[in-house]
Amino acid sequence: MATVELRRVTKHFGETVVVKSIDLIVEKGEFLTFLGPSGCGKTTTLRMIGGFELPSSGEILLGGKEVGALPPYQRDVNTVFQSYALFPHLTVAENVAYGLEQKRLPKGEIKQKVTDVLAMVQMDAFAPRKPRELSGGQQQRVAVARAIVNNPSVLLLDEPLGALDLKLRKEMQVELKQLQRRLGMTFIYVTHDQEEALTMSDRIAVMHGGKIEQIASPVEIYTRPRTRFVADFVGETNLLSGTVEGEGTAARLIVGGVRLPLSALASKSAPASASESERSAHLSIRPESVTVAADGEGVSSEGGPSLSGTVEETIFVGSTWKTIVRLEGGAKMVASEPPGSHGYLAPGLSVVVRWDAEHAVLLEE
Amino acid sequence: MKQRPAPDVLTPLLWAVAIAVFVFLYLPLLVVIIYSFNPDAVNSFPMRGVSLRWYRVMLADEALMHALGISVAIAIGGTTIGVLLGVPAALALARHEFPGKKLLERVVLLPLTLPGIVTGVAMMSLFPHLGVPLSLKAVLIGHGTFLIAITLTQVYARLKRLDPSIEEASADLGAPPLTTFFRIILPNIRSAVVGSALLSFTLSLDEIPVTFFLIAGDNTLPIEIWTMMRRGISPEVNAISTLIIALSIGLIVISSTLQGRGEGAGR
Repeated sequence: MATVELRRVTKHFGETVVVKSIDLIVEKGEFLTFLGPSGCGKTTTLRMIGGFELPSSGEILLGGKEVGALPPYQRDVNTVFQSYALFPHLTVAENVAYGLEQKRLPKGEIKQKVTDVLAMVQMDAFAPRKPRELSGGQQQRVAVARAIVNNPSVLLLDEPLGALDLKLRKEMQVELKQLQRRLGMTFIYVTHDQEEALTMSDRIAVMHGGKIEQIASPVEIYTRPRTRFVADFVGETNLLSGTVEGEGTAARLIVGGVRLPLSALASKSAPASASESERSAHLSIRPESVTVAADGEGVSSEGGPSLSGTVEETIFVGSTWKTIVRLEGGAKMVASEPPGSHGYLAPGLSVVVRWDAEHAVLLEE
Repeated sequence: MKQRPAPDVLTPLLWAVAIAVFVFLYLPLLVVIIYSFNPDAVNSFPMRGVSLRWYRVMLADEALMHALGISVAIAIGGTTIGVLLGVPAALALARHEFPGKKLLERVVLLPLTLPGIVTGVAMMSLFPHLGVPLSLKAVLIGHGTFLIAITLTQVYARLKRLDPSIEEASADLGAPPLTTFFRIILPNIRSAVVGSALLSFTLSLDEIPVTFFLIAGDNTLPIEIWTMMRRGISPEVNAISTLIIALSIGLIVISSTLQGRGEGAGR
């Protein structure tokens, strides 16, 4: 059964529509991430699930029951806030005990649960401290402990790692993921960091302009982005704009007069019904799928799609060569290749860029 | 660029200014305190000795003691009204949106900034229409009204510095609004509430203009002293003034101690 379900949920503040008719089903035990730039509606959606904002229209169901205007304190949901929101006048242990006290559990049971959960997040030694005596990372652990100790049906996390430095953030990403797997708890996570989303999630909902542009596993989001926005926002990519010609396996994308073959899957998603002039499309090719070779080194023999251009810059970044090529049509193409693939390519050198058609994705606008 | 004066020139200068300020502020109080122990009826220096004569006169003065009792009662009542209405008003202003909020934000300080005489006259004209005759009840309501602004501004300022997400966190953890108020908000604004209550108490205790227009038979302490002064200066005024100074200093010490402790807990 779905733990959380959103049906045509819309939210506007005055004239501004922040969330536009979102449909979503989150399964039990799933780690779902709302990923998107600031202002895309991801935090507002999370806050509506938590009960801090009410939807302007649409329904939110928790455990199959419509929660309507139910206030946060009557929802079986807990939140880890971006600012941690620890109670400054209470100790770590008192902070963690707060939710259990609201449930009127016996004192002994509360004490046991608080001890256990603090041990789980390795904060047991800090139980008598006040929040201001803790570092950012420690406060974050306490905030997580305070939420999960209540064993909610869903844990909402609003950019919980945003305030931490990069190294700590990477460690906490792994820890949170492990914690979620161990508890089997449903996590709904909000972030604008695409790497974080890819690292932690079972599924990612990429949000843009108040809508979910694509919802899929991290691998699919990365390798098969559906829209131009998703391809651009998640990871680095090269976008080629052109028009589609022909259908099925004969479909070609015409970019600057060059006919590029498309993969079977890509051509299937080509806008077939539209008239010839309207069949404009974008092709997304990840830099790691692109190879660069000096001009004349067997261009046509390999068959796959290729374009010629001149090298603008070659950068050695340790794990890869990063080559920026200016194509004949004026567009730029970035290639990421292993260090052994070729040497330094001098700026101005005529080259051919090539990629595997199966790794190129045709996008909707 | 101008050369900064050497510190050894600046420091004595600062000391001199500071001392001058303190003398200017506190010398009159010192004179009152000293003369309250004067054995004679006429203020003259040097005094012939030290005596508690005027304290005995003061304690024997029934009208004065009665007025002191009334003033303390009004100050406690007015402070209670101010705090009980000021804290919820501050919460509403700091945390909720409602029609007319912008207007309220602007006019809330009016009772403090308007001359007391204007507030007094206005209330004198209004209260009888509301069925409140000029009386100590009217004085109590009058004081309560302008004391709301004291609590409201102090508590509002504290709430502005308090992360509102801790209130959401409390609700998130299952606490209904009243529990959130008493267990989360109140402990974090406690020092502001106590501080404004003490300030309200002292302000009410020495209030004249508003009281003057609302009073009927019974006098508050400041009005009683003022009435006494019209009959001629009696040195027992020095004694009662010394008593009030001692009380005020006591309250200020308590207030600042609590304030310091409260900020420590808030960080």
